[in-house]
Order: sequence, then structure tokens, then C-alpha cells
Amino acid sequence: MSKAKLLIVEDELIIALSLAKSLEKLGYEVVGTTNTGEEAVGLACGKAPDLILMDIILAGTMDGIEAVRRIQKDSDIPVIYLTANADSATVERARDTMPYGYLNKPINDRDLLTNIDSALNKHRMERRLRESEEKYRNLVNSIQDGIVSADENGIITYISPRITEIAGYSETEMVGKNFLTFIHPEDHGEVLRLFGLTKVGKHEYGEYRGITKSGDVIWMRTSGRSMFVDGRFNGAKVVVSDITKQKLVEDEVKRANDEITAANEELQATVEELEAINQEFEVQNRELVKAKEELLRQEELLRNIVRVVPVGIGYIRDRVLVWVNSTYHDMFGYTEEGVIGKSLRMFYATDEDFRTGVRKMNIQILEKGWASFEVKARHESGSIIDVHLNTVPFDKDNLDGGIIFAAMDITEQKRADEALRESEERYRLLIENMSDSVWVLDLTSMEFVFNSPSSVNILGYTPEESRHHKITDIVSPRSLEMVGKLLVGELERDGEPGVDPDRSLTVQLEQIHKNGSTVWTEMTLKFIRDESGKPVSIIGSSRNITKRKMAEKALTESEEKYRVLAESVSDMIWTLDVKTRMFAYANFSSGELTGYMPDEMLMLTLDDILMPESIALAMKILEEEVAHDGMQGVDPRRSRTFEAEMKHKNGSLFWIEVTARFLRDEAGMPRQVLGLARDITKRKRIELAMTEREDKYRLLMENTPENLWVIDLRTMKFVYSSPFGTHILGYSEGETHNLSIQNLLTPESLNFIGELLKEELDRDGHPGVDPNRTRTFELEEIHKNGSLLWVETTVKFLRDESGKPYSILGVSRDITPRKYAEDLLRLQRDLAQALSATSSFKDAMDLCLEIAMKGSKMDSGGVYIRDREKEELRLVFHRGLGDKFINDVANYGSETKAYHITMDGKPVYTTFKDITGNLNIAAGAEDLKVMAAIPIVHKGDVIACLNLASHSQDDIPETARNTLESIAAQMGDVIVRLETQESLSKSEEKFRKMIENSPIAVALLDNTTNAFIYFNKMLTKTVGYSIEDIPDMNAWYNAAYPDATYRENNRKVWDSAVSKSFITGMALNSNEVDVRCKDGSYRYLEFRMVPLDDMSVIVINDLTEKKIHQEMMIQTEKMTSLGGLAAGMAHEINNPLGIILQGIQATLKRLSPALENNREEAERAGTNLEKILAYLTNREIMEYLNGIHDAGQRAAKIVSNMLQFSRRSESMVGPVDINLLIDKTLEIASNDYDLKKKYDFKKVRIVREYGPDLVKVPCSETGIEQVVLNLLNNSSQAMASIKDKDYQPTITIRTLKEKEHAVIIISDNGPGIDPAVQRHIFEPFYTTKGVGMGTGLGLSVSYYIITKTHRGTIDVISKPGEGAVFTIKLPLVRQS
Amino acid sequence: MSAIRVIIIDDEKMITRMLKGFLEDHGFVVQTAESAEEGIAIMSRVAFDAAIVDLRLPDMDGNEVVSRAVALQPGIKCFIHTGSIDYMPSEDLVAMGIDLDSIIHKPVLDMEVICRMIEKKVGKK
Repeated sequence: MSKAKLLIVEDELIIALSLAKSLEKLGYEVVGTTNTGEEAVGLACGKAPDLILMDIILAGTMDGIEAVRRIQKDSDIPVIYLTANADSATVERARDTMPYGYLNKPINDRDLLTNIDSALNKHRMERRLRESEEKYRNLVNSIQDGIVSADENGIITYISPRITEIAGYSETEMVGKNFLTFIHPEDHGEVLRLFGLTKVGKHEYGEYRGITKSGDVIWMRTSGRSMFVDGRFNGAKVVVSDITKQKLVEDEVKRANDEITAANEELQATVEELEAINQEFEVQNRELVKAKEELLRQEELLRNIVRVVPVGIGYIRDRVLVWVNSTYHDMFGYTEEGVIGKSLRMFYATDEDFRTGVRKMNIQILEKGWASFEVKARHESGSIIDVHLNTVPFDKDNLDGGIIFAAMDITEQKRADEALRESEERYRLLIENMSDSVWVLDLTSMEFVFNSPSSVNILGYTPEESRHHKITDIVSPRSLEMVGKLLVGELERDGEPGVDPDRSLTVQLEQIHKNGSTVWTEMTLKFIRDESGKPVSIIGSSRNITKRKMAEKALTESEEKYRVLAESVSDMIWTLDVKTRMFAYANFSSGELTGYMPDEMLMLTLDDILMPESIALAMKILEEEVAHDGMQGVDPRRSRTFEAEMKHKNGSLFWIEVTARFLRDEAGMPRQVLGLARDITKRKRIELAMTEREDKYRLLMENTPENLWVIDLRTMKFVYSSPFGTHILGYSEGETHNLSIQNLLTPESLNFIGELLKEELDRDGHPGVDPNRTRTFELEEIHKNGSLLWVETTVKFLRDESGKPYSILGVSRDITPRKYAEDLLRLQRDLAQALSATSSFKDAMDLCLEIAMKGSKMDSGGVYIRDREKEELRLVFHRGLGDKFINDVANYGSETKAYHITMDGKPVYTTFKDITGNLNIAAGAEDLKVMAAIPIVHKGDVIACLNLASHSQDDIPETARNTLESIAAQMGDVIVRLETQESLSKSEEKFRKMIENSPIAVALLDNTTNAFIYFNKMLTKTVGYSIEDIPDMNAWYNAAYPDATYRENNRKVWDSAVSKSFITGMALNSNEVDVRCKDGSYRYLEFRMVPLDDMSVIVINDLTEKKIHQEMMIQTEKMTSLGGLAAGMAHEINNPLGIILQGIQATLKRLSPALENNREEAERAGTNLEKILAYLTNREIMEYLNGIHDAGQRAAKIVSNMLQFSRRSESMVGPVDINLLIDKTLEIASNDYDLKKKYDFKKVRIVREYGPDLVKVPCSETGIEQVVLNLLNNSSQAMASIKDKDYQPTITIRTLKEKEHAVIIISDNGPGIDPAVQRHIFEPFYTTKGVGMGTGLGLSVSYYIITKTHRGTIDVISKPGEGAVFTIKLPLVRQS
Repeated sequence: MSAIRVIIIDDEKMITRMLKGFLEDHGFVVQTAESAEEGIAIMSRVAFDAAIVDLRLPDMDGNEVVSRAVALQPGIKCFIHTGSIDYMPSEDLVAMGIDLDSIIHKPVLDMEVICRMIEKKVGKK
């Protein structure tokens, strides 16, 4: 035992030295003496004495009390004051330094010794206590919660160190102040309320804000505990947790929730908006469909009208017939197939006619916009027919647009007209050549008595020559006979009543010319009478009518023909006197037309039958023609055609087409007007209808965005396409006709239409198949420039008369914008949907870019994000671009042009030239042709840029631009949302990880269903249960608290705490319970709960280890103090015990007959040893003595073992002989002094099987003893439960060396350990013993000693009914 | 064969007397002293084969007494008689031949053992 070191401080050096001497004599070591306080402080520090003897009055300026104060500042050295005559004030002052004693001078050695010993002991105890307290304090400090004590007035009396960490104030800054000083002003009310509650003993949990020294606001959660002294409120202890971070998390979670909700709503709004747009489109679409149906209906109507009119109607283009109605092809004797697609030439008689006709038409159209003319046409049979044509160009400004024509067969009229013209010609000839001769024939002589000179013109005879002529000479026998008969007849009836004597006769005679030729003459004969009235001679005039006769002959033939025609034609033929303007002739048809008889007609003027406008027109034409008639170059045979409105006799009006020319007298002067009028009412009506129809048709065709077209089924080529249609596809009208549909349709559409056509043709004509059915579908067409457009097409078959389809009539409408809008809408919807489904920024950008590329038909692109910190645009995603190019364009700093252009916020569409030239981008490497850069603007700020480029397109169409801008607009929101989401999810991830990996067990509970939502890892690790094991609170209660009573109690406590927590909205604190884990073990857990809106966060703190440590510490402390007590006691007991034991031994020795001396002394006493012994034996004194000896010996053993056991030392004491140790422990066990134990170790048979080669083991002797003792006690206690009389409880202890370990095997033949119990035996507080029989710490402490202190192992093998085997392995080589 | 001479220094009179009686009965010549001072005084006059010294004497530490005894009589075999169980001789004492066989723990359960210890150390005369 080392000497205690003392420091003596005494102003009287003599006393100091003598004191030192005494002390040394008493076994102390004096490490120094001094007479000043200053030196004392130095020595105390340098020598580190165990105790200081301090005089109060010292030599220096410092007195002893002050010196002690200084010393105590740095070190903890017990002090004993040495005083001479201390006044009470000094003593009072000295008491403050808490001395261990006072020694009054003069000092005697006994006082000195006891005082110093006691001081040292006390100090040692105190230190231990302090250390223990320190441990506790550290424990308290290490708890995150702080403690604040306040008095009844709210003045802070204590703060734990944690509070200074939380608040930033030092202890001195806080203690003595009112706690409100540190509370956020807004929360004063709440805190005062809580304090008020605390005053009346209600412990309240609070959550409010505090202000730290640095001014920060922190959230605290507190629970107060009121303290009462004599029933009066004496202040409160408040546990304070800093929940600022938790609050922040809560706020962040709330904020995140709000933002997600907002984002969702925004998304919802977008979707609704899109749906609204969609609906609008549908409404528009329905209207369009309706309009289109109406159009088709009208068109159908028109088409039918056109088909049935008796006028041939058709459409030609490039001199090829595109379409004709049936009237037309019937007119020429062809079928529809026979004419469609044919050149007009086929209808002309000659090339010349063809050329003239075309020229005539073109000239007229150019002059007046339409043409009306007649042509000679060729009938299928080869005959020539006359056709009147009215033609109108389809497009009045463009003759290439085709011509619509109306044709009428006017052959018959023409023929009649021609005949008329010919006959008129002949009359004129007759008149011109007439020259009569006059002669007188004597009836008696039958000789010519007179011949006029003109006679020579007739028969070639001069009048003289003729005088001698006999009638027979110059008249043919046939005519002579006829004349003879005539004369005889006339002469016979002459003179009869009623017979005009002046009558004339006209006869035609066949005469003989002088040259012998036959001359026809017309003779008008009259009788010349004598006075009696008797005819004597004949006066006649002759006219050579040979020509006339010939003409007459022909005329008769032709007139016959003509008359038949004229009377049979429906046209009106008439002549009108130029002067009188009266009709001179009117044919039968005239009467039919006008309602007047031809005779009546002759009585009429023009005024009677023509409407005033028509008269005016007719007169104007007449005057014009009269005026310039006869002028040079004016064809005298010209004719004029005009239309006039005529009045029927019954008052109705009708239209006629009048063709008129002059009939002239011999002088060539116009006398009459010959006119041909045709009823054109029907035609006019048709024309009018046609014009109207035309207008309407054209209006429809040209002003609706529909493409009307006709495709020939055989050629599959366009035979017609409306102007709009050609415009749509970028072709001029002429070009489409050379195109087959293959050129205009994408392969898909072509394929589609092919199949459709096949299907329709297959079913066509089957019963139930409507011949007028239509099909509507969408096609993708190719623009002349290669771009694609969508058309909606409705088609039906056009059929010939037999109903056979020959063409397809189609109405196409460019629905590219609609389609585009639909696509865009779908694109946007898809995008919105897809985007809402992705939370990855990269995926979202990928998607946007893909859709932008698809939507704009561009083949490459990228997304730039604006980096605000670096002020640059950074390419974050790209597609379809080469590495080199990407490398070049990856970043655009604020100094670049591209950056500035982007920052302008306006879309830029550029060509390759602009890209390379203006923007200075190395697009050449990539061979880009066009590029689009659409800045993505969010809230007026450019946040990114969507870039698209194409290697092939030359242009970015408007639709593509719209698409891109629309996507860019969408992307803005997406980027912001995702950025927010990403930062949120990062933050969420952070918090999630924090919670997931938190060393604190956390569970989330759904407040409505009481189901668990989440367990973190620590929770499962702590209790073993996964969320699958414990789906809800009920499951939890059943699993965690198998004991029904305990469970119900806990449930009540927890439920009431929870409901309170919900009402106050505050966290539920510290609910500590014993919980059964999944593996059956129990853990001591602390529960806290924070109610959130619809869920609760439950935080579980595993206090098991802490509790074990606490318990172990308590145990250790207990053992230590017990040990100390035992040691002191044993020491003290050993002396009297020595007297007893040694006395007995000496006594027995002195009664021993073996000792000669004893005999001698007996003899001397007048007796002998035998007698004495006999007496002692008889009176059992010897037995008493032996009994005393035995008892003493036993007491000595007890004390000895007690000392051994209580001698606690944590340090490993050198190598220990394990076998000896076990022996000793067995001794202790057999001397078990616990009265409470209900078993007797002495009944147990002990079998020792010590290994011979077991060297000493480095271990804590007492530790191992404790473990072995524990095992022995447990065994014997367990075995005591077997009540069988034949049962011999046996413990076998084996020791052996096994490689690097010393092995102790302790086995018994007890009841064994149930496997369920076996798993938990090393767990603290697990006990199968009754209350008060065990702490449940024995084996856990053993486990701790073996595994932690010695780094060995301890385990158990046991089967119920077969005993238990504990194996301890201790390493032979000590590990640090 | 002369008797072994033993001096017992112990302030507990009964212990001294009973031990003396037992050892004398065993055949040793025993002298006792009730204090270290007295014991040292005796040893300065009389030679002993062995000394049984109580560790805790009122006037001097037993160790010191042993040192003195050895100083006075270098051949003397000293035994420490103590009630404490964890007493370990200091190095100085070990140098003077005090080993674990020189420690006699109170209470002595069998005083024959003391006789044998003494005889063993001193050598049976």
C-alpha cells in the first residue's frame, strides 16, 4: 500500500517540521512544507499531494482559506485546516471551501491520524461519487434534451449544458434571469399559460420559439414538471428539445406538398384547357362536316340537272373532253366512254373546221368572255351535223382552265336555212334575166301580124322574119296541140255569160328557136275582137322562160322539199318588209310559236309580237345594217343573230334567237328582211339555269377550300381538278392532268385508296349497296415541293347511263391545319401525359425533343438550359447530331451571339447560310440546312432553349414552327416543374435518406386507418418487425405487448396521449415501454409521436442499452460500495475472529495429551490431564470448543471469500489459475449467505474435471468469479425445482485448454432451458425467476464480462430435461 | 537441537498471548512485544530466528518494523501477520526475503501451519 502524500502549510516552521515528522512516523509521506499561501498553491500543483494540512494564518499575503480556494480551482485535493483559535467568522469562511476537517492546535498524533485517514477515505468516496455523478452528468449531457429549472417566479435556477448549446448563452447569462427573456415575444402568452398550468401541478407539453444569443429563432419542445415543497409550488423543471430542424423538415415537407399540389392543379388546368380546345375542334369539325354534306347534296342536285337537260353539256380541257352529259354523246351517236378523254377533233368534219371552230371560240371568249358559234361536226355514222355551241371558259381569266360548253344539233335548221338561201338566189337570177316579147297573131291566118323586137331574144328571129312565121313553125307540136285545144276551148266559151271577154290566158309553150333549140316561153294571151266582139286576133306577150322553166322545175322540187321542211321545222321563218316593217311571209311554225295563224302574222307589225327592248334591239341592228349596207367590204349576204323576247298571242313571253339577213331587189337594195327565229326559251332557261348553276358551282368550287376532282377509273389519272385543289398541291391546273394519283399520294395513302377502291368496286352493284354511296377518309398527299399534307376526301362513283362506274368524283379538303392542330393537340396531350409520368429531367427533355422532332419533321435537335451562375447556355440534351458538332455547340457564353439572340426570347428560324454566317455556328461540320431555336420562356424569363435542326429540309413550315413554339411553351413549365421537382426530390431524397438511415427508429402511421405507412431501417433493426409483420396499430399492440393487462394499460396511455397530442397539435413525448420484439426478446423503448395532417410520425428511441448501462452502473456502484464496506468489515472482523480461532487452537493444544507440558501442568494443579479431558468430554465442553472452532473457521472463510469477491477491480489482474479460481468460487457458492435463496448449494454434488495443462489465464479474477458464481447459482436454483427424492443434482465443472483459449465448461443435470427462453438468457432483465429472486442481470452482466472485458465467448447448449451446458472461452493471449 | 526463537510483535494482547502459548507448546521459544518500539528494543538486545509482525501496529508500520528487524538481525526470518487479504509486500521487503510464504493471514485457521511455515523458513533445528 503506497503512502498517502501530504502537503503541510503552516506559518510556524517549527510546528510544520514536527508535524511532518509525526506524519512520517504515522506512515505518511510529506511531499512538502511551506509557510506561505503562494508557495502552497505552487506545491499543490507540482507535487499533487493526496491531502493538504492548511494553517489558516500564513506568513504571506494570502491566508490559508484563499490558498485553498486557488488550489481548488485547479485540482481536487482534500484539505484539513489547522487552527489555533479560530473565530466563528473565519470558520464560516473556511467552511465555504468545504474542508475535510479542522484540527485544533496543538495537534495530537491520534487526532491527526484519524482526521487524515478519514479525510482521505472520505475524499476517495467523494471522488468515486463525483466520478459516478460525472458519468451521469455526461449521460444527461449527451441526451439531446436540455433541462432548465426555474423557481416559482420563473427565474432560471439551473440550466443543463445542453441548454447553452441550444441557446448559445452561458450558464451565467441565463441563471437568475426570467425564462421569458429567452422566449420569442409572440410566444410569451403560450409560455405563461404553460407555466400557469405547471404551477397547479399539471405537466404540460409545449412547443414554442426561443431566441438564441445570436438572435436566431429556434423551435423548442418542452415538458414541464412542477415541484412542490410542503405542498407549495416551488418551481419547475423543464425538459427542452430543440426541434428547429424537425420544424424545418416539417415546413419543408409541407411546402413540398403545397408545391406538388400546385403543380398538379396546374397540370390539371392544362389538361382541361386542352380538352376544351379539343372540344372546340370537334364542334368546328362537325360544322365543317355539315357544310360539306350540304355542299355535296347541292352538287349532286346540280349534277343530276346537268345530266338530264336536252342540251349537250360538257367540259373540255386542252381540247380533250373531260366530261359530258349523256345528251351530248347521244347527239354524236357515241357512248360516254367513246368521247371522254378524246380530242375535240373527232367531232369536226375537217381539220379546217376544227381549227376554225377553235379559233372562233377563242376569239369570242377573248372578246366577250364567252362564245356562241356553229360548227360542222361529224356524227359517229360519218354524216355531218351542224352544231351550235355556247361556250364559257371555266376560269374566265384562264383559258387553260377548261371550257364548259352547251351544244345543240341545228342540222335541220341549217339545212332549211340553206335551202331558203338557195331558192332566193334563184328568184333573183330570174328577175335579172327577164325580157318579154309582144306579138299579135291573126286568128284567121294564124300568122304573126306583129312581133316586138325583143322577140329576137327569145327565138332568134327578127320581127320581119317572125312575120312570116306560122305558129306551127315556132311552136312544138305538143305545145301547138295544147295551144290549139286552149284556143278552141276559149273560142267556144267566148261570148258565154260570166266569161270575161278581157280575160287573159297564160300558157307556157315549147317553142323552137331559130337555131333549132327548144325554148320555153310563157305567153299571156288576150283576144283582140272586132266590133262585134268576135275575136279576130290574139295579142300575146311571150317571155323566154326556158331558164325559169328549168329553175322552176328545180325550184319546184326544192321548194317542195323546203316547204315540207319550213313547215315542219320548229323554227319560225318569215320575211319582213324593210319599209313597212310588216311581215311578208311567215311559216307554219311561226303561228305555232306566236299563237297567230300565218295569215294573221302578215297583218302584224313587230310591235305586236316583240317586247319593247327586243324591238329596240332589232331596230338598232336593222338601222346599223341598213346604214352600212353597200359599203365596201360589207358582205351583202351577211347575217346577224340576236336574241329577242317575244310575246305570244296569249300574252306569255318567250325567247327567240333571230338570225336575219336582207333580201334585196334587182338593184341590190334591201327590200325585205329574211329571218329565222328559233324558240330558245328552253335553251335560254337552261342557259340561265346554267349560268346560275355555273356561278353557284364555280362559287362553290372556287371559294370553298375543297378540291373537286374527277379521276378516270381506267387510267387513274385526274381528268378534272378544281382550281383550289391544284393550288393546294402546288400544281398549276395543266400539271395535274398529267399526274396520276401515284404522284400525289404517299405510298401508305395510295395503298389505302387502292384497297378501298377494290373493295368498293367488288361490292358495287350488289343488292343493298347504294350506288350513290360516299366514302370519306383521310389521305396524305404530296405537295409539288415535296411536303406532305393531309386531305379529307369524300368520294363517290360517277356512272354512265348503264350505271357502270367510270370515274371517281372526289371532294378533298385540305385538313392539314386541322390535322396539324389535331396532331399538335395530341402531341401536346401525349407530351403532357408523358411528362406528368416522368420525373426524370433527362427523360422529360428526351421526350420533349423527340416530340418536337416528330412534330416539326426535323431530324435533330437539342435542349439548352440557361445556367444563371455562369451566365451561359449549356446543352443538356441532344439527338441526331454528330460528336464534333455537339462539342462545338455545347456551351454558349454570355459573349456569344447565339446567347444574346436566345436571350431576346424570340424564336429564330434560320437557314444554313444564316447559321454559319450570322450566328457563327459551325453548322458546316454537320451539314445542317435549317435550324430553329425557340427560347423557352417562363414568367418572362428565358430559362432554356429548344433547338431543332434538319439535315434535309430546306424550310421550316409554319405548322412546324407553331408546333415547336407550342412545345417550347410547354417545356417551360416542365423544366421549371422538374427543376423544382428535382430540387424537391433531392431535398426529399435527403430527408428520406436521413430518415431511412437515421439511427433513430421512425414509423409513419396513417391517422385515419391506423395503418402503418412506413418503417425505417432502424425500426426494423430495433424491433425486428417489418411493416409486413405489423400492418397496423392493432397488430402492433398484439405483437409488442403479449401480456393483455400490460397491453391494455399501454393502449390507454398511448391513446389518451395521442388524442391530447392531436388536440394540441403538439408532439407526444417520451412514452417508455417494454416491447416484445419479433425474436421474442424485450427491449425498453421510448416512443414519441408528432401528429402531422393525416399521418403521424412515431419516433422510437431504444433505451435498452442505456438502461443496461445504467443498471450495470448501479450494480457496479452497489458492488463497489458493498465491496468497500465488506473489505473494511472483514478487516475489522478478522482480528476478533483471529482471537477466537487462535484461542480455540491454543486451548485445544493445551488440552492435548500429546504435549508433556500439559500433563505436567495438570499434575501441578493436582489433577491429571485425563481427568480434565474426561470432564471436558463428559460435559461436552470439548465438543463446544470444536464447535466454536468450526464456527470460527466458517466465519473466517466467509469473510475471506467476501473480501475476495468484493475486491472489485476493473483492471485485469495478472494471470490467474482458473482451477483455483473455480475452487474458490465453489467455496463462495457453498457459503451462500443470501437468506432469501430457497435452495441449498450444499446439496449439489460437484464434479471437478480440471485440465492438467491449463496454465494461468490473464483475466479479471473477480470478473470470472462472478460469472462462474452466477452460473453455479443459476444451475443450483434450477435444479432445486426438481423434487424427485432420488434425484442427485450434480454440477460438473471442466476446464481445458483449447488452442488459444482456456475453456470452462459448467454443466448440470437440471431441467434444462426451454429453447424459447434460451435465446434471451443473455439479454438484460430477462428472467424466469420470481419477483425478488433475480434481477435479470446476472447472465447479461456475465455476458458483458466475458465478451466485452475479456473478448471471450459464452454460450449455452441445452435441451429441456437434459440439463444445460455453458461454455466459456477466454483468450490465453490478452488482447488490448 | 536448540529451540527456534520467535518474537511476536502485535498490539492485540490476546493474539500475542495465544500465539505465544501455541508456539511454545510446539516447542518454540517465544517472546512478545506489544509495540514496535518495544519489539525493536528487544531485538536490539536479543537474537531471534523469526519475527511475527502485525502489519498494523499503533506506533509503526509493520513493514518498517520488518526493515528494522532485518537491519538489526540480518538472518532473522520475518513474517507479516495481517487481517487484510490483499496485502502485498513491497519490493524492499521482497528483497529482504519476505515472500508470499511470509504472509500469515488473520484469522489463522490452523496454527500448525504457522509452525510449519516458521520451521520451513528457519530450517528445522
